[in-house]
Amino acid sequence: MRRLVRAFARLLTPPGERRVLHEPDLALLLTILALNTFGLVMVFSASVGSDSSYAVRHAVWLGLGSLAAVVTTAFDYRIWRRLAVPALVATIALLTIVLLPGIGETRLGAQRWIDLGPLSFQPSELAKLALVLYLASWLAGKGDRIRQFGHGVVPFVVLLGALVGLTMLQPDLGTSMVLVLIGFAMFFTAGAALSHFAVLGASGLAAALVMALGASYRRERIQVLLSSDQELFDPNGLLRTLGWQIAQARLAFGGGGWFGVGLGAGRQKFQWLPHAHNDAIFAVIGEELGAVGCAVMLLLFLVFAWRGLSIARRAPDRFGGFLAVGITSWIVGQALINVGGITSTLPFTGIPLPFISYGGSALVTSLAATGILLSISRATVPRGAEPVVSRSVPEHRARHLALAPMLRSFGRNARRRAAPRGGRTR
Amino acid sequence: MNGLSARRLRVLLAAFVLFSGAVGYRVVSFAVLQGPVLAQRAEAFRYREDIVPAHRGDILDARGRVLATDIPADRVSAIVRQVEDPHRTAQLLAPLIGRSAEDIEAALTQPGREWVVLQRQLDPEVSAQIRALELPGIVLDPEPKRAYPMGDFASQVLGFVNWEYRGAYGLEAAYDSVVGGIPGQLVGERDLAGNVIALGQSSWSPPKDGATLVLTIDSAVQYLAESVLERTIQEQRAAGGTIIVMDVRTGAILAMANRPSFDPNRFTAVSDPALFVNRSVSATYEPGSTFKVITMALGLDAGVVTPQTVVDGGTYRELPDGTRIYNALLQEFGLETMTEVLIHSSNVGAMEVVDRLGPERFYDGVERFGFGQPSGVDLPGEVEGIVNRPGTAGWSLTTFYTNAFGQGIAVTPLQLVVAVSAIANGGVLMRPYIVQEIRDGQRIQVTEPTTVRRVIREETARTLSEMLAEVMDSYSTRFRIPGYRIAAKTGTAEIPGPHGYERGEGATIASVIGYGPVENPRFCVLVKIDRPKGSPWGERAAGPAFAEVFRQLLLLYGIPPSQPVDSVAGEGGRP
Repeated sequence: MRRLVRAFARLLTPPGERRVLHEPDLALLLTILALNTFGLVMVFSASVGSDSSYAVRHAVWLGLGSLAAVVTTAFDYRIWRRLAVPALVATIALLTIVLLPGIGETRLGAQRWIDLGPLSFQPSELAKLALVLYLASWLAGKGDRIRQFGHGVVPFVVLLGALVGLTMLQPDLGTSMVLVLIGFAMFFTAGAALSHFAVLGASGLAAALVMALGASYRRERIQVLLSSDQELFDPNGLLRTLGWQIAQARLAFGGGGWFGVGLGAGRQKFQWLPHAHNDAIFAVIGEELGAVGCAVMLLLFLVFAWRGLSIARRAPDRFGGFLAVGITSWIVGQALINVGGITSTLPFTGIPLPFISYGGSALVTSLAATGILLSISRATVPRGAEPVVSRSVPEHRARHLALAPMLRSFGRNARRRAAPRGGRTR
Repeated sequence: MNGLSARRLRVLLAAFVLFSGAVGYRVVSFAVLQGPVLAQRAEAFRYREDIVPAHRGDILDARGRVLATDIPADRVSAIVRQVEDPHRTAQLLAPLIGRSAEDIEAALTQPGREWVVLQRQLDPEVSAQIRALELPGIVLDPEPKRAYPMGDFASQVLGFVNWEYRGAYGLEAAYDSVVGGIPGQLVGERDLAGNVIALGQSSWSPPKDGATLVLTIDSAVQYLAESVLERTIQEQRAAGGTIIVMDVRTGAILAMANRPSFDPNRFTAVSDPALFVNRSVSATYEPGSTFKVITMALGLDAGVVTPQTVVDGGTYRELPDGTRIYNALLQEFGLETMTEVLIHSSNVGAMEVVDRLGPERFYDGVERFGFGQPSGVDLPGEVEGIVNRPGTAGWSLTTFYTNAFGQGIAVTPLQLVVAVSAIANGGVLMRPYIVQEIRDGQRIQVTEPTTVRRVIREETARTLSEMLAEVMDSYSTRFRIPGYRIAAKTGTAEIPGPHGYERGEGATIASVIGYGPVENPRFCVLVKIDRPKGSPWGERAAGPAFAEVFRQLLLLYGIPPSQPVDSVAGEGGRP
């Protein structure tokens, strides 16, 4: 028993030397508070049109999420690096399991949920966190070799391809887009060669195109995206199918004007706009608070991006930096994919708007991730000051060459610490 | 620092800013640039105008019995988008709403429909069952249903209410604006299910309920007329018929029965819309010998004949152009008084009367009696009938003489009743009416009897009544009303077809018109049997029904007999 406690305590002890932590980034904290308050108000408003118990449930989820955020803010972010590999393994396992008939629960035409009695959760939520953790850990250990095709692009494509592929099988286009965005953002900031990046981008785009045209419902999404007003509102055409939500969202924006019809006074949420409290909440903001309200919300996410990337730059180590980039691009990227979809700037995909949409496990995960970002901000060094830790510990560099040796070494930290092995770089 | 490229981080931030800008632009473009267009589109989705039907007024008979009323019912419809499983929904609804499952499923899946009404006017028990199924997308709305508690009863008088809840046919149509009230209107922003959004703008003008109609129809008399008519038609294997009972002093219609008819509760089951038409006012026939009453009235009033005037009734009358017009069955009556002319129903005698009158006096008189023009009754679809005056295409010397005994002239049953009632009423023609009162909340509008004109002198009327009472007596072996003196005349009219008058079985219209009691006439009754097969003659086919109706009528109104009930007057008569 005591050994177990001790093992647990060791797990929570940050690796490397002790750091003097300071206050978290105030601007980021305030932005997060503002976004979540905004979200609570909007969910309350939107749920008036359908089921007002959503507001109460959202508040409960928000409470759970805040708790998670406080915990992750309190801990040194470096401890999460230990979870990078197990989280990835667990994610791949869960993403596979959810596809199995009888286990995965199908809702709205996609097999995304794992049912755990009263709760159910989406492995794809976990996939985002696992990807961020693993990539941060992997990139931190890579250094400049990321610029080499064999060391950089190939493992990156294999990893991202596996996660995105499994997610697309559900099918969950939205989460796939977020995963790609996270991966590309992290890979890009890690200093990947621009030529590789161009190839990657081009092939990714080609793959996306093939996929989009491959399935009829995706083709229809593209059709909705490209449709004129006339086609979108054709009662016998797109309006009958996937176009309805986009059309109703457009009506919501149109009704809002510059300043909106007033908080709570929106009409479209009265069942006209499907998922008003959830995926389509941006349209409710557009109707009730107008273009100005939308702009304020977009600005809040941009402040989040600015603070998040600033934290990334000032993070005391590479892992922290990449983690910050990953979490920031996750939250901001998902937000932009959501609002891009509902404004038909992008194909519409059913993913929630972080902090604003009705909660559930997604809200808790994003708040927990934000907590990690805040914990990184507690360790940042001012620009120009000497970094507390200039380079990551060599052992980390060795751990992510390939999946197999890394899996073998998992759980043998104690032995490895006793016998450092520098010779495994080649 | 930590080796992350500051430049690349800046590029990433710039990408976020750029994309946010794009989204922002889209929002502004929808909200501001396309705002008015989209707002208009949104209105088309959300604004809906609902007509809230007014409570339709009841229709009561003269005794306050309900003939037509509103009962609660429901309409079931589907919000197509919200129906999750059209097949299952159709399967569950089919047995409840009386439509086939395939039919319902087709309605639920047809393209381009947001809202489908599946069935209307469901009974409350059925809608409760549907509500219990909790089918998504299936909605129930209350709507009133018109009920006719007596079923197939005065149905062509009442008419019915169509799916729009407006009157169709009969009084429901004629008094639609009175009984129907003014529908209310609910205009406002709706949610997808059609409920008004509480915070939206809406305007509500409440419906104004319709007025109650009280008819002159006495359901006791109406029932009597309908049942006697029904029985007679069965006995005579007739195609149909009409019985009208009118109060001669006022013109109030106490009963108006037509066969064939229909049940207004199930008007959708009627395949032939001709059944909806009230044949008492909308169909004409050649009245035949019953019209001799009119001819005689005019002759007596003009003084060209008296009851004692004797004419030589041969078998026929030869017109100046050589045309010979015969008595029925080529009978020869010899010398006959005017009273005997009516008793014999002598065509030759009637022709002598019009011969003495001349066309002008005859046709002026016929028009004074109201023929060839609407009676002005408050029923819809009244026709004028046909009276061909000299100078019109339809007139000839032949028609002038045949008009004397009711051939070559077309009248509605009601016109004949109104005309004969004028004789009963001492020569004063009353406008017939069927709505006694309109009760609109506190306001009660009572119909006062309307005098149209004096047609003949009172003395003439009295003289003719005495003559017709003798005529009635002459029928006593066929039908009689013991204890009362009733004026009556039978008629056996031929039915004009495309090639002259029809021949053979069922080619006549048998009728009796009469009024009484002669001392103080109260009621006029017409019994008209179309195409009787039992006997072609008015006296046999319609006579017993006439006597039955009249006897019961006098009983119903408590009119005491004026003679010992066992007395039998007169002897065998002629058709």
